[in-house]
Amino acid sequence: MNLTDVVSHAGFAGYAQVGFVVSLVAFVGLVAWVTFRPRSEMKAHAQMILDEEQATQQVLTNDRRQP
Amino acid sequence: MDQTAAVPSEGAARLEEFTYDEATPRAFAFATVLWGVVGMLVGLLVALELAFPRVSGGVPFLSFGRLRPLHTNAVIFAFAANAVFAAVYYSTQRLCKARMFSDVLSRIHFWGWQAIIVAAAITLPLGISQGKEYAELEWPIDIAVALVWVVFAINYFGTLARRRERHMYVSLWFYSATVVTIAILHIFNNLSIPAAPWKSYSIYAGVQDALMQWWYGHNAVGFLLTTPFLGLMYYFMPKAAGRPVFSYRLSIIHFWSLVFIYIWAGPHHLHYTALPEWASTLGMLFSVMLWMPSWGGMLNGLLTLRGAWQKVSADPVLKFFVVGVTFYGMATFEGPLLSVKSVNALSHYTDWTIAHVHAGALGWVGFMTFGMLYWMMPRLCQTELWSKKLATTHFWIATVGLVLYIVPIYVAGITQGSMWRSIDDGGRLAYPDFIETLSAVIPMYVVRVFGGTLYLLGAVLAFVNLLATWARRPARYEIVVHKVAALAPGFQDPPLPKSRLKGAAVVDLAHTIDVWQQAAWHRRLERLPLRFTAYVAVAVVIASLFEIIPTFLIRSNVPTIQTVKPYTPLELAGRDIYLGEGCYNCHSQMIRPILAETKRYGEFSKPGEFVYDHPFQWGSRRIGPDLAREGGRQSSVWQVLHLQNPRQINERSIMPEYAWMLDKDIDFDGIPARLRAMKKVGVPYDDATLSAGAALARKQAALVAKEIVDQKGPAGLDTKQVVALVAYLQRLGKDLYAAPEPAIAAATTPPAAPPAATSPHEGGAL
Repeated sequence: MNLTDVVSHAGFAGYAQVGFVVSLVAFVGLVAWVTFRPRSEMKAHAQMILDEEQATQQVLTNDRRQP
Repeated sequence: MDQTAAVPSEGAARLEEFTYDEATPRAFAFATVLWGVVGMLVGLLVALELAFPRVSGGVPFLSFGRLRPLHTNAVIFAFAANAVFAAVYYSTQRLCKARMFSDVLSRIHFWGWQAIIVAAAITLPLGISQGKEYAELEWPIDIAVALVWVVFAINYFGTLARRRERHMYVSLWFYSATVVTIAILHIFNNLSIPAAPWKSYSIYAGVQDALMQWWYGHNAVGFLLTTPFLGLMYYFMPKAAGRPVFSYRLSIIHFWSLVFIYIWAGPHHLHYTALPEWASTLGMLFSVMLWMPSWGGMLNGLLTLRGAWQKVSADPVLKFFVVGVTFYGMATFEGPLLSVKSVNALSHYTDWTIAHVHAGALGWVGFMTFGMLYWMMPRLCQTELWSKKLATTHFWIATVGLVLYIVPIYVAGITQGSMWRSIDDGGRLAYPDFIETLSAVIPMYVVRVFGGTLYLLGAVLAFVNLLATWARRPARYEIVVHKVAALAPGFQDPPLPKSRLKGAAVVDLAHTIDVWQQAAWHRRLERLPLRFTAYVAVAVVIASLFEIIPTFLIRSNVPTIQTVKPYTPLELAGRDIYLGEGCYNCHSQMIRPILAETKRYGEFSKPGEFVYDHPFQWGSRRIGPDLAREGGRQSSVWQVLHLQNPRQINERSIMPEYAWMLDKDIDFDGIPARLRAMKKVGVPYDDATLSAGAALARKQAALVAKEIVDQKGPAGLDTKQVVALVAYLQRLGKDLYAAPEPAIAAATTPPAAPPAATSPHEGGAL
């Protein structure tokens, strides 16, 4: 018996529905976990993009021309 | 390489100096707008050809079938991809606080990609095509794409590895998903066996090729036109608005659910076709699920502007972003809707799909790109935008153009779908002549030309504005040197929290769940780019395999039809002309089991009919009628005269003229190599056919040419391409009705009512 035999006899009538339900459960799990994260923690992470330049010390030079 | 030097600092922290590579994103930005204008110009030309078919003038490289792939490839892989690269090169450096991994790789990436675009712009109008939508480029270019993409991946992941920011921001998640997934899609969909320097055959055939193609096609939209633009949205919108992203929670949900769900949805492009029903249903269900992450992302984008809406009225950048994200919401609402089988039965093969695609492409991709360019280019050129007023004018022109494009095409699609399905009281087709359903939508095509012209005009204004901005750059750019502390090598995660349920009368599992719920799992993942990317790859690969393995391994997916035989050498040559000319851009070869369709075109298509079709040619649009059962419908001389000038057969036809096919010779010498390549991909040609391929082709060509003369057609076509194409067209759909060979006659019974066969076109007879 090879893999083709196994898959051919597996029966795929409810394949889509089972896949749908499993994925939906995973999605709900993800939403549940994320929902209970502390608000302050999430706010701090979102702020990261605006903190980007403040965290960098800048020195200006004027030494070469770019195209 | 990274211009980094460790310098001692006053404090305990050890600071590293570095600069950003601004030349590369600047180059990609200019390439974006330049190729955008070119790609849209070609789009306008093909739109004109549909409204006014004589525009192409019978010039081979101007025919719709050759130019439409040029348009789609240009706007996807030249305009949108260059925009993605510009965004990635600009934002990744800043989010990682590191220069790109290698300046050399950046240059190879930029010039390599532009060379690929030029190669596509040359080969597609020459009729060099694999015949797979959005994957038309032939194998040498495909290899170049893979190599340049690997260069990009090394440069991108190398930058992540050398970052000075511990955690990866949302945008980087989306970019990582793009880099990995596009590589997987491109490589596996384009696996083929070369038959000549510019000719190859897909290793997949029929149903399996269809699944692979739309797994690729749908996810190319998902991972080249969606995820990187979402990464762009999460970076540039907060920057432009001066506000953090609305919800980091939502971005986590958005990312993981989109990545996991998107990859399953491809089969919704194949509803009611010969694809197995389970795969079609799977595609539909996951497409409907896509509503959740897509709208989560759309709301996250729009709500980022909370408290900053007053800026939208004054800032063209935010105007572009707001409309772009709104169109993302509209397109991602409509996509799942179109994937519902009953809706798809009406919309498929009509202009509805074209309108949907352009709402996404012009509205989402286009507007986000222009918003990004107007924000980024002044910063990269260290000056102000040349004209804010011109950018605002661009916004309004593009918005009006967009509406004028999509509204008539939506109307055209629904009109055409309804007319195709319309049955009169007597149970007959209300519009039996296909040309009636086409003529009804021509006025909409004319309006589309106006809409497309306006959108293109807007892109030209952007080009002028950005060029003028660049011209105002300082004589010497200021090189900003950044000093940032390197990441400490031994980062320790905070300890796992303790269960808050201590002392409560609960089972151990409750403690585990409580700890799991408190732990910052995702935060940990955000500082581990390799593991993060591996998880994305696993999600994509597993989801793909769940569809691909059953499609390839279940025998009942493609029941064998004993009378279906390989194409004769001449028919194969004709099929290659069909692929090169891009006939699939207007003609499907797939009759769905829908009453109106079987009444119009005949017996619905069976999976077993396509087992030798490398690649499949089911198409996705019917600007012309379906050709699945074209064989024997018309005489050969009708086919010749129709190809020579369709309007001498029907003055309302909008098909291009192929008069040159009556003059151009068939490449008989190339046929043996093509037969051998087909044999390698599994087509059972026998040794006699392989060794005498060219002679067999000449023999059949002489018979077809004689038949044309007998039917009072032009003489002297024995060696001409038109004969090969006619031989192929006359073969289409006839195998199902062919008389079985005596040995198998008892085992199979072909459907009744075979169309009359004529001697030069007996499948497999030669």
